[in-house]
Amino acid sequence: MEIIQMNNVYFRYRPSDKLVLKNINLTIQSGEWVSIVGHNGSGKSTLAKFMNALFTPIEGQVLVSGLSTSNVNNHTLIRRKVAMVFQNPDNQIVGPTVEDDVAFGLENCGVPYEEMVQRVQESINKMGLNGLELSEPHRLSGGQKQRVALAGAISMNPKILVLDEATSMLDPTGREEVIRYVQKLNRDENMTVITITHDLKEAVLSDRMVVMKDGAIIGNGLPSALLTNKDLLKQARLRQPFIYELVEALTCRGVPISVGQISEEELVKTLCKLQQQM
Amino acid sequence: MLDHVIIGQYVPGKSFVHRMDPRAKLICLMLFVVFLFISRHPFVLIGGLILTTTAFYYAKIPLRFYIKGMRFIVIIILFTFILHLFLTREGPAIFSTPIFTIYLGGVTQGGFMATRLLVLFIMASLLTLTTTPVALTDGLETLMKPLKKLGVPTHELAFMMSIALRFIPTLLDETAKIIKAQRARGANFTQGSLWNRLKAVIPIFIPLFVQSFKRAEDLATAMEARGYEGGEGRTKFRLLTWLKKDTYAVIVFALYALIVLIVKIGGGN
Ligand SMILES: Nc1ncnc2c1ncn2[C@@H]1O[C@H](COP(=O)(O)OP(=O)(O)O)[C@@H](O)[C@H]1O
Ligand SMILES: [Mg+2]
Repeated sequence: MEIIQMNNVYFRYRPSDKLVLKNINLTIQSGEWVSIVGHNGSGKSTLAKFMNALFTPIEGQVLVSGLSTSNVNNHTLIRRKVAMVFQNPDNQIVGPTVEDDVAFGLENCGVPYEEMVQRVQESINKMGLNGLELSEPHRLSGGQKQRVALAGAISMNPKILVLDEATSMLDPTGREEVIRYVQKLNRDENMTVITITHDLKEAVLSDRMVVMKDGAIIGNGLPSALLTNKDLLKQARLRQPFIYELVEALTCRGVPISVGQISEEELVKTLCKLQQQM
Repeated sequence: MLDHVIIGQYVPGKSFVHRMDPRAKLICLMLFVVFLFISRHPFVLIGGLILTTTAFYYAKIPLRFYIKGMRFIVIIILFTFILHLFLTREGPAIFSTPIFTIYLGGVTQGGFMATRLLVLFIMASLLTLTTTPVALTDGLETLMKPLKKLGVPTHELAFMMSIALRFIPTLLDETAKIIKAQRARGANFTQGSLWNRLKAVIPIFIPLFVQSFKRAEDLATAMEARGYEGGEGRTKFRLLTWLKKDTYAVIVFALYALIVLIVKIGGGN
């Protein structure tokens, strides 16, 4: 079932500006994990803001669960279905403590107290933040802060989770931590996940990858297929992830490895096996 | 230093006063401040002293925390005392030099005023020492609610205050970072003429300002994405619970107010 549909979407910030989004056509299925990649200024964040009606197209149409974002009356409902986590953890935590922040969205839509307490606790547990309920945000690590933002997002029981470079300000441990929880949400709760990133290592993990350049979509398909397409990557000014470069270099030298969807561990394992055989 | 700004002077604890509803504490303090200053009768001050010692006892906060927060206030109190000492010309002279004479009235007046101020500040610090700024904000918001009918945006004011509390530590962190960055580029904040030092501060505040606007924009987007649509139809996660002891505390302070009023009407000054 398609949960987000964008049809011929055009957008510019001010009437005098140039187009920031050009003829965007994108369909996202329920339960899918789609990553959107592209260089700085290619319009990824702008695109993301269309998914929960923070922006509406000047031309074209965006449907979320069949609801058009062009109708202002749908906005409240759409925003409850689509939760967003942004780049800078410090600029999106509103509450003075972890639990207060997780409760923020629930407070906004008037959830009764008892239910709110329960849902806040559930979300905190799901994001592995037990014991930090009363901590002040500025005492947390970057990864923890983003997990607080995630907990706040999922407390609303959204259908779709959009992460706009949510890991780009984190250290490698924090990144992995956040991605692990996101992966869990996608697998265990069948939540539709859209991650925007310019870290291609992260994109490798997703079901589908969308490549943007100057406000247009220039690639859309399996990460393993797109990441081996050198022309496309060059055009999008993206660097092939190290692991792909390595696999390619190895195949050039006649090492029998396929360039399918491969993770670092798998590669290490395969190489070890090959070593033993030799 | 950072901690001090963030939590105000709050000292965590589980005392009677800590567990009081912030609304009750605010009401008590307001009654106390108003009625302590309404009359100059010694009874009023004695009553105030008794209330303060009782509250101090029940708050179970070591004296050093009060002293830490009151260094500046002690100067004000001393100044008040000395002013009264030299300027009051009542009663018999008790000490005289060719330049000035100190009268008995000066000593009692000065002592009276100083005690009154001391009691006031102790009571006020009691509030901030036992209540988190967040709880204080909640308390103020509910107490201000009646003003909403007069068009005062009470929810917005309280929300602004809690956002400010949330961002003060973040901004302080950032200031520290910027200072370090500018130092690394050779900025000098501790030497040179006053003018030069002032000029050195500009490169701190400009990036801080720019960054704050960016933050405000991001925060507004995040809040909108999380369905914030103003105070209408919002529920609250943090509940204030008014217990019996809160009522008792308010009654005690109300009784004090009543006694002061009786003294005032019956006794003149
Ligand atoms: N608030 C704004 N006002 C005007 N132009 C903007 C605004 N935000 C982004 N842009 C422009 O839109 C383009 C796409 O930006 P953005 O969506 O943030 O890209 P990305 O997230 O891929 O880096 C850029 O050229 C940027 O300058
Ligand atoms: Mg962006």
